[in-house]
Amino acid sequence: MKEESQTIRTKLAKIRFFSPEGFFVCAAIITVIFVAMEALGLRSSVAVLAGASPGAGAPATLGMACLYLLGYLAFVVLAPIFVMGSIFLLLVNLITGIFRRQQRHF
Amino acid sequence: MQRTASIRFASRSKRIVLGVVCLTLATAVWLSFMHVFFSTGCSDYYSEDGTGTKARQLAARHVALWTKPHLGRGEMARMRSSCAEWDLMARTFFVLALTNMSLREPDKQQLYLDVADRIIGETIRLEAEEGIYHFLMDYGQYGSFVNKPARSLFLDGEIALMLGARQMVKIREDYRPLLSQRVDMMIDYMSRSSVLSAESYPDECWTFCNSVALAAMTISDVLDGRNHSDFCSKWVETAKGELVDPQTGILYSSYTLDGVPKDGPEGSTVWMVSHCLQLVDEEFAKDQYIRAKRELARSFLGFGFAREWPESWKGPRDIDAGQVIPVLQASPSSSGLAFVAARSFGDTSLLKALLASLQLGGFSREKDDTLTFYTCNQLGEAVLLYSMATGPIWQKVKDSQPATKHQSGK
Repeated sequence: MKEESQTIRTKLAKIRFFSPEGFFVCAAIITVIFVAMEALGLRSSVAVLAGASPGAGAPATLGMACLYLLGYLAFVVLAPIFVMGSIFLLLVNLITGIFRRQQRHF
Repeated sequence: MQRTASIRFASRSKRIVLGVVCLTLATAVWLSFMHVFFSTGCSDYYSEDGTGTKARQLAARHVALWTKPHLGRGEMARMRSSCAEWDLMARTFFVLALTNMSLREPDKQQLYLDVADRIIGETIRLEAEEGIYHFLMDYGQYGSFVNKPARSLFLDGEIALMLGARQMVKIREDYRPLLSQRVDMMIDYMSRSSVLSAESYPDECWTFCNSVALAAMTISDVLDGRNHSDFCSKWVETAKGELVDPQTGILYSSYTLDGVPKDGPEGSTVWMVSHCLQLVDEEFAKDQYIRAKRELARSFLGFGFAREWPESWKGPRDIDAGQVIPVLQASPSSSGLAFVAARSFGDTSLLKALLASLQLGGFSREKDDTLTFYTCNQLGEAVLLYSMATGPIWQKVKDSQPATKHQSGK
């Protein structure tokens, strides 16, 4: 079990950022962080922005609201871009791979 | 060795360039289509017949705030600490929403009317016990009203509108004199000014409050058979001549009793004005809506919002319109009221664009068959709910008026 998790960690460490896997892992990390924020109930903290929260004005509440906002924006803007970028890069690699194989064949 | 390193470097550079290109392409595609994912489910909010699911959930939350006072007290207090005006406005918009929903959902009519009556009763009681300043911002007490005894058309208009809308669903005998007395009072005070407007604050008339008063008068006429249409027509003619910003053609939002402009055309005013004037002069109302849309409605990546001020306005700015989001100049209060106007004029494209923004930035949460938007206060939600419910009351008033009423100049 310990060996298995170490293998996964080694595999993850080897993933390059500018690769389909790299982009996909970024999207996954953002999603996990956002889901965790949701599970912790941080969504309600954004009420401070409308002055409709009991803790409005408290730095801690404001900090949580900002943190949640960042996580939310990353989830709705960055995560889909990373997933799409991953698919595009995968397609490019596939096409160039096929092209290279054809060149070798001829 | 050197050759291997240079090949590796070239392949790494190629990989990075390809990655950046793919990410750029993905960014372009996602930002262009993101709004589509947020503008779905329009029918959950806006239903032509009946009430959308989300509207019912939002109404359920607000009904609970009024029927279980311990829930609503805190929220109202927090809102009042920002702006006392918002307290009365939240009541008005919620009563307007409830009365419209009473006609949309006859099975829930009694519940909605009970809550509306509770709000109207408490508002009139507070006005009587605490005085007009209870619902006004502090600066209302710094000057003295020109017309004596001091009355605020902000209160008179909104209370009259609540009384009128409630009775458009079902007449209440004890409300009849309350409405007609208030209408008489409004006419009396408005007639004293050269621009047929009454003060909301000392020597400060608001187009918002005056148009709300005109709508209330029109509803009152339908209910008691009197006729104030000449007065309303005169108000519109005077406004066209003296209260319009020459650059945009939009009505000023505030002015002195003599008609000297104070605040310029304002989003949180003109959207509601165009909605209210639909009962008085439909052609002029539509003209104001079209101009407001041209000057104030904006879209960024398909997400709609409304500015508080037209780009051309360089004058003083109102302080009670809430925060404005910098750079985009997006105003939550103007955008909220734009929902009401867009719905009233059947502008589905603007409504969808605004809805996309609401679903992106409203941070809604559904719980126990209720819906809340964390970034809206009680007033914001009441305005949104009214935009979802509006229609039946205005239609009933229009249907009860003579056919020539809604055409300008007739």
